[in-house]
Amino acid sequence: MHTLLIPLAGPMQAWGSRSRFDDRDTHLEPTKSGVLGLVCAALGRDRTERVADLEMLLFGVRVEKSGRVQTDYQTAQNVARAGGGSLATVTSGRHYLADARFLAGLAGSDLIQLQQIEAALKQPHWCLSLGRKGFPLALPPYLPGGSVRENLALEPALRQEPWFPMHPRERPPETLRLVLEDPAGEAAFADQPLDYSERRFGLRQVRFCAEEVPTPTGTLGLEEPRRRS
Amino acid sequence: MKIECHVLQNFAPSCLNRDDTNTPKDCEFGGSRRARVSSQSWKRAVRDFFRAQNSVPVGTRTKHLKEQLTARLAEEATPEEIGFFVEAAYSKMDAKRPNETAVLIFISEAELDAAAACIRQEQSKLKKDYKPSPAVIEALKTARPSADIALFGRMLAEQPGRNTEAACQVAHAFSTHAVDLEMDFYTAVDDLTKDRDETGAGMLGTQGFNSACFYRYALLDTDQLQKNLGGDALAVHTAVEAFLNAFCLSIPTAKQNSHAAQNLPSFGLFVVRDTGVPVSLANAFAQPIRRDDIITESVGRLTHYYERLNTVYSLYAEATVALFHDRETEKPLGELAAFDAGSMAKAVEAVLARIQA
Repeated sequence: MHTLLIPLAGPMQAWGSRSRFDDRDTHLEPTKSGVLGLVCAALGRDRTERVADLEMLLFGVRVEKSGRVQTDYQTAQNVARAGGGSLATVTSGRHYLADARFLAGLAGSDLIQLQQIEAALKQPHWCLSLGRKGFPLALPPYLPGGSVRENLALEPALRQEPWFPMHPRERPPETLRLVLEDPAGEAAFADQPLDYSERRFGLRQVRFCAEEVPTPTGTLGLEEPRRRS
Repeated sequence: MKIECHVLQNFAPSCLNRDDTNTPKDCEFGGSRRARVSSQSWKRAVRDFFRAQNSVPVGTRTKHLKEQLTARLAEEATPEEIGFFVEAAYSKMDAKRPNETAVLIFISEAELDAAAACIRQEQSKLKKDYKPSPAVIEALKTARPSADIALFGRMLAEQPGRNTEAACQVAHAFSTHAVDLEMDFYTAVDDLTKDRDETGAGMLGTQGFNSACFYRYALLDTDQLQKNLGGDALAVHTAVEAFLNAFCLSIPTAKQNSHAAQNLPSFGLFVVRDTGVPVSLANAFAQPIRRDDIITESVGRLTHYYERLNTVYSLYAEATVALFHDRETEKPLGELAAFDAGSMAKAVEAVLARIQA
């Protein structure tokens, strides 16, 4: 088993699985369907193509910073009603995660496949976004020292990876929450992508656990303060 | 190729974009409350700018498609025949208003021409249960959408084959510093109360507003744009130039009658790349700015973060970079000073030169 780590950071992210019509939800962590969608965009794989080879990878997330759920109030004017008649203004509540950061993991036994995904994430075919098109990435979706952890399964890979701060004053949380794919898990998320073009998703069992922040905390080297002249 | 646009723009007190409580939109970032202007709000400002400047042909959102086509076809087909074509190829008619489509169609001039041409061709077949032939479907599908449809995308629920994938991505703009909500308590005074020996206001109210220095980011995918515009390189060139100008110069019009916050960007950075992954520089402001000269400090933070990303990821090693700014000195630009194009026009020219090469 090998694991590919994918950092996901941006001021706004939205990972939904339960939305109906104009109220758009978000989970508290990235969904497997959302992250595989991002991987497909990097690979240049259209939504009408098969995803069975990606769908069988195991997906897990470590919450580096949990953020806060907020809502963007969106209006669209001059929208026709289903029953005909005068035009309406549609109001839509679009929930999103503000100020959150995650480390996602995709685990599989085919090392070449994971390396190909990493290469695609470094050179994505289409524009990547964090759940909605208006939410761009603020960090590249790969680790500068290499994102593939050979011979390390999903859970140990996510537990052992150092936590890094984004700016000099950021302190790590006391524990990091992990949401791991596990057939014996206690919760079910409807984010197993079966067919993106028909928007069909299956259930995926997940298990929650926590990890103490590994010390010393790591660093990406981004948070060095400016030298003031 | 991908074109990143990073802009720092400081606004006088204003209420550029409101939520359902009538106060300026906000979001949390780096642990503090920031002002926000939504992505959709600024995309609309860009679209209105295209229209006002007439820089690129824009599409029309309308339910009066049948009327538009009738006008183009004069005597060549009856309104009834045109109606059958519209129902088959675009959308069924509104139940209560039989001359209007049930949904709004976002359509370009070129597409209207293609539809008219198809109607002329198929005129003899236009009866009640008309089904367009594969040739007609192909002709409608390949008609060129307008630049704004090509940039921002389109969804046509009844004809998913004519959906257009947006070529650009516009982030929500947020302030580089923490922002509190400010309330303007206002009164409306009756002009005639003086004469009637009365005092007091006719009406009292509050209006939220704030002043913020926004970091704005957009990403344009020229390959997707070229695909959307039917491979026409000249149209792509025009659309990119129009978009870069509009992104920098457009300003949302909400509440501007009472604020007149017409403020242009103080800093604009364009990055053109055909390798590597484009990222927003939002995290430069994860720690909110707390200094006196917010604009200059924002520029300095952004350039420092750019340098860090380049050191850690070599993200800009092969990219073409051009910027413009209005600061007094080059000090806040750091290493980026080498890419100062001198003006917005020259920075846009540098981008256009790169995408043509």
